Amino acid sequence: MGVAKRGRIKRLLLGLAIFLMVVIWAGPILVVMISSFKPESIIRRESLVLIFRPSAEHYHFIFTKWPFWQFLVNSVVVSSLSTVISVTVGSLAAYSMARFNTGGPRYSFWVLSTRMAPPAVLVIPFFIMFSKLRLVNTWWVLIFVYLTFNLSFVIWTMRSFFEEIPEAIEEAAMIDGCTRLLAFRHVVLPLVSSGLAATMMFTLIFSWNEFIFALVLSAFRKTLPLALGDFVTGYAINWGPLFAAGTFVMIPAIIFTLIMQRRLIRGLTLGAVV
Amino acid sequence: MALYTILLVIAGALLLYCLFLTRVSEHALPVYLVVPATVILVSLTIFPIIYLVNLSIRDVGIYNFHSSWPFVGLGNYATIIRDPEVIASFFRTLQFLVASIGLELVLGMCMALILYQEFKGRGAVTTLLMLPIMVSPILVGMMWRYMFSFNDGFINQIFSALGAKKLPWLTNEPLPLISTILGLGDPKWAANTLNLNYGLASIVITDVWQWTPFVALLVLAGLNALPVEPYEAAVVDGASGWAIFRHLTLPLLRPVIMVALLIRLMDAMKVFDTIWALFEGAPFTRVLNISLYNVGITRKIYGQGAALSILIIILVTIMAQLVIGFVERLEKA
Repeated sequence: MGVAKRGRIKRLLLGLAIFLMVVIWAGPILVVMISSFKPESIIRRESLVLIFRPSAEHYHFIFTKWPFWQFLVNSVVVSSLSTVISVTVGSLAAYSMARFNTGGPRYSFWVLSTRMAPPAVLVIPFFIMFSKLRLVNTWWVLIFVYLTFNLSFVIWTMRSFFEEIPEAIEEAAMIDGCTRLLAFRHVVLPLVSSGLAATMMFTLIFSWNEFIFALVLSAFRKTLPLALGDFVTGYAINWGPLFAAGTFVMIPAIIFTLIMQRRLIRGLTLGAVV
Repeated sequence: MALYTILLVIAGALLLYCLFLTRVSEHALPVYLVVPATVILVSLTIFPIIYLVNLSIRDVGIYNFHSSWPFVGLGNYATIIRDPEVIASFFRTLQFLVASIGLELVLGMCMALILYQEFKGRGAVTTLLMLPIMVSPILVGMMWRYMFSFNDGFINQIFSALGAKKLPWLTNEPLPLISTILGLGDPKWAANTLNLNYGLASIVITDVWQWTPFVALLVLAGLNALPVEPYEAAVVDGASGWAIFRHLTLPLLRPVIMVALLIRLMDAMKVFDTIWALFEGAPFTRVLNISLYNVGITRKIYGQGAALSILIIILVTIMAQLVIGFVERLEKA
């Protein structure tokens, strides 16, 4: 009897801990999403209001009175093109490093080291350099600058995917008359396609979320995360529209997490933990 | 228009490059495959750093940007390391690193141990807990700015609904009790000089909220990879649950915990967005990156900002060397 009771208490404590964790970690996200449907009069109220009639007024506001679509286009153009470049250029380099050990360990550590410094240290030279090139506040600058973190990410993750593919498969194709490049295109690439897709989604999200380079280099051609600052004014913060726009910023990341689940960890540790 | 030009140029360049690759000899292929990546990385990291070194030894700011930049040697470095604001932000960065990474490791381990238990809906709970990791840090900051907001914030609204006092989150009000516990005397002094204030606490909470699930995911991967035999032996020997955890699980998890610590260390050094969203660079919350932004971008004293950038790069390089050395030693062991 004593053992059964202790077991029940243990289950109860475990349940309580799980409940608390879910409330703390999923709660704030839910609060933002739900509050984006709160009418303005209720958001302004100082006491907690849990039950209210949902209203789409903040969404209406950001779609009609705020250049939401323009910011969305900026975000989509910048993050997708930066992803295309980094995935293409990066996987070719990663393949070369995985198969031919190009540059040796020193080269791959150098690639890794480029992403160790805080982005903030690059802000001054980037600002001056791209001002001189007259590229500030264009799509070009962010597409290019986002390669700083995307390219090294692609190289490191794709390298670990390529290393998993036995070289014998390519050699068989090459004996059949394929060139190395054709073997890469028709044999290796299909085998890493799921890893490639995951890597692509990571770079998309990283570029989508980026803030500091956009703040300095593209203040007049804002991406969505940067544009969230529009609702923070000296007098007050417009929480309603901020939550509505914030929900859009969040959606890709949440869909991504739902798709990736456990594989998240491999991407975030650059393949260090599988 | 602009978009078509961009698409055309990028697609054209990539196509031309692929076409070029089909023409080169099998022998030279490996080198040509890494050339574009290397060129891009050099122009985005090495070149700006050389430019930074050049800026850092000159007196250059918005006031003389379009005229000549006089050489000042290490003058900018001397100015910047004596700047009380920069010194304060250096120590604030250390405090932030220690407090948030420490909490993330402890809480992440607890979270992983809970998720390691068997219960109904474990997969769904795990996924729910992972949601914060990929959310844009700027939005995470804004989200918590709302949670912490004094009058209309969610946390204070819950507090007052429960009849508790509202707390001055996001301010430099001293944290209660802490200076009494540590025997520091005046709480106001501790809040202003030792950062024992609600502001830093709010920053730490926000960072811990976003990154604890990441640590938990790492530790969980480590737990799932643990060997079974030692546990069977321990159970046969009649070891208690705590003893098993303390003397078996913890030592076996050490490599994973170290990896988590090191990844978080390098990542937390990059912190900017969340703190910016919470405070927009209020002086009592500045960490190194935000001080750098303030000197280099807001006040436009490029020379001094460049000197501070170089110092941060040196600091990060030293940390990275320790990290890499450590990982290599770990792999050998």
